Amino acid sequence: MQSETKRYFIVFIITSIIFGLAFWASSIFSSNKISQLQEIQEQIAIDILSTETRYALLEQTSCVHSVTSLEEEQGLSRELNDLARRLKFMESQLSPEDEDVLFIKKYYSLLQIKDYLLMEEIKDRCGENLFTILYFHQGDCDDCQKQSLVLDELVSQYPETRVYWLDKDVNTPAIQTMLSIFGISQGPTMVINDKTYEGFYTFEQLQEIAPEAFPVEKEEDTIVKPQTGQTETTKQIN
Amino acid sequence: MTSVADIVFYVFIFLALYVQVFFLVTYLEKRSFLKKKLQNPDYFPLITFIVPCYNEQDSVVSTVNSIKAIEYPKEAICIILVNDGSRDKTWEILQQYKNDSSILLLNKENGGKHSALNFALPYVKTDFVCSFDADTAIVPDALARAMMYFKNDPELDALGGAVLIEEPKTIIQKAQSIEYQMFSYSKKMLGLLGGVLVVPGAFSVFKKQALLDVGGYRHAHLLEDLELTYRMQVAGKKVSHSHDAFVYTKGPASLNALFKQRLRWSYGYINNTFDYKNAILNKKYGNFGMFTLPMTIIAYPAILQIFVLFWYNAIQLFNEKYIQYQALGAESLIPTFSLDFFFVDTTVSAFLTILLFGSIFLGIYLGKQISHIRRVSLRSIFWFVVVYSMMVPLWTLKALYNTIFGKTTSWGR
Repeated sequence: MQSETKRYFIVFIITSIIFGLAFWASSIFSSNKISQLQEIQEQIAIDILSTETRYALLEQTSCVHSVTSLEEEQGLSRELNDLARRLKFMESQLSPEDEDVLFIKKYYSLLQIKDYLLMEEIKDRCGENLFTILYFHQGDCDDCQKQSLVLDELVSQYPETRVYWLDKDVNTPAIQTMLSIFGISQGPTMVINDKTYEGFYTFEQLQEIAPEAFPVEKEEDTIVKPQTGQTETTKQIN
Repeated sequence: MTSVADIVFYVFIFLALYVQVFFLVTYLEKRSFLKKKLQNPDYFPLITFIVPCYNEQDSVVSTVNSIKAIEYPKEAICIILVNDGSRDKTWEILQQYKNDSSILLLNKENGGKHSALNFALPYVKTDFVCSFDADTAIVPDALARAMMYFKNDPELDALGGAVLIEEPKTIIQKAQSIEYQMFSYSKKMLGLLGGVLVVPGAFSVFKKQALLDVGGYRHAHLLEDLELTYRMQVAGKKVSHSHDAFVYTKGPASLNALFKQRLRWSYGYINNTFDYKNAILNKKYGNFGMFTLPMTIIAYPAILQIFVLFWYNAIQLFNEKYIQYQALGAESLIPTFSLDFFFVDTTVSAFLTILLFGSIFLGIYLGKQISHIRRVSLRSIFWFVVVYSMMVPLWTLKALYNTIFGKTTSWGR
């Protein structure tokens, strides 16, 4: 009986170690992924700072030179998308309340808002041809999942388009202010050319909304069915 | 944030892993013993086979032939064929053995398998008894191998044989062949620990005195072999398992037949275990009370949980794909293999699930080693995973339902 008790104990120890290893491995991988997210985020911050600095330098010279470079802007758009996708995955892996994820999300949201303001200013002052979509979404909403997939596809086909992915549930004053400026109550809602589009819009519908930004390459007769729950409102931003 | 569901999941996975590690530690401990070259059998005491027959007209002759063909002194073997009130031609077919001096034919009113076994016991004149199913074929050296256990351990009272599936043909039989193979590993480990759960009615050898001491067979919710084993364990009889004495059974060929068989097993297990609840976690009964019974009890909720998780994840994946289809159309569903490690699931439950499945496959592998099976088809393993992951919870739940609402379970034939 003595050796039997010992066996039960040894097995308990071994099982605990294996169990612990699973937790340990998972946390190693998670923190690795979080630091990948942080890297992308830092890259975004640098890219924005770069645009900002150039804009500040050229401010005096009244838009003689182009402020934005196509290559750089495409890179930034891609990074913004990439981070949005990765953040969403990490939320499902850890939990939406995970501190690291929340922190990155807040910071990322602020970076985007900052870039958005900068782009608006460059557009206004220098009339540069930049196309931006403000996209408000939230967790746990099927239409948001669909809209995110469509916007992902849109950016991969039109890389010069800039989509700002804003989670409306991120509790940061800047986001809340944005929500009240554009009168957003629930996701998915997009702001395109100062117009608010609530509900899910298909790829083809978006092409119709902004044909100048999303030229249809092939001549095809696409019939656009009006989707329920969509509302279109114009709001003047001041 | 860990929710209650997560904690319950972790607890069951921990316990399931504990069981697997327990087996593995035992295996490593006794490995050299298991690998030892088999002794040449040289112990041939007199023995009586009891073969209960109920509607076995198609299989009983080949069963008798397989017993008559074993490598064992002919004069040491007696066979009792008990016709348990068959409604087919079994009794007529048995008449061909009327003049065979080594075969005794008994006929009785139908009363169930346990009654047929008990009916034959007074006719047994030998010290050893072998309970044998009428749809089973014995490997020629199996009995001689089994008897060596009794020679090597004079204290031994009961010995279960290794049951494998004979030439699996249907998907359902292929799935069972893997299951039986895996069982031969866990059963052997339980045998080495003195914690045998069941000596299978298909093929098990007893000392007649031990069988009489505990009072023979009982109805036992239609699972008389399990109950007899429980009773012997509790009575302090020594029960073991022989991994090298094989018999082959056909196994139900259809899903429906398998469901009925397993419903009976689950129902019998639940009710007999309830009857012997005092033995659960009772130190007095050694590994049987401390490990075997708790382990099988844990298995039930663990299996249910894995089932629920499996379907939950499947539905979620389907939903995700459906949303993708709605958003971007059918072409987007064609998978593109971009190997980005970032999107590989590295949650704790992913690791634990891999560990658990790994231990199941290890069990299948070690079962193959122990049973000296040459080749294992991967397709059978696939069918095993598919059939059992879907069916086990169904018959388990039905058995629970029958138990709680007092529905009777039948043999299903």
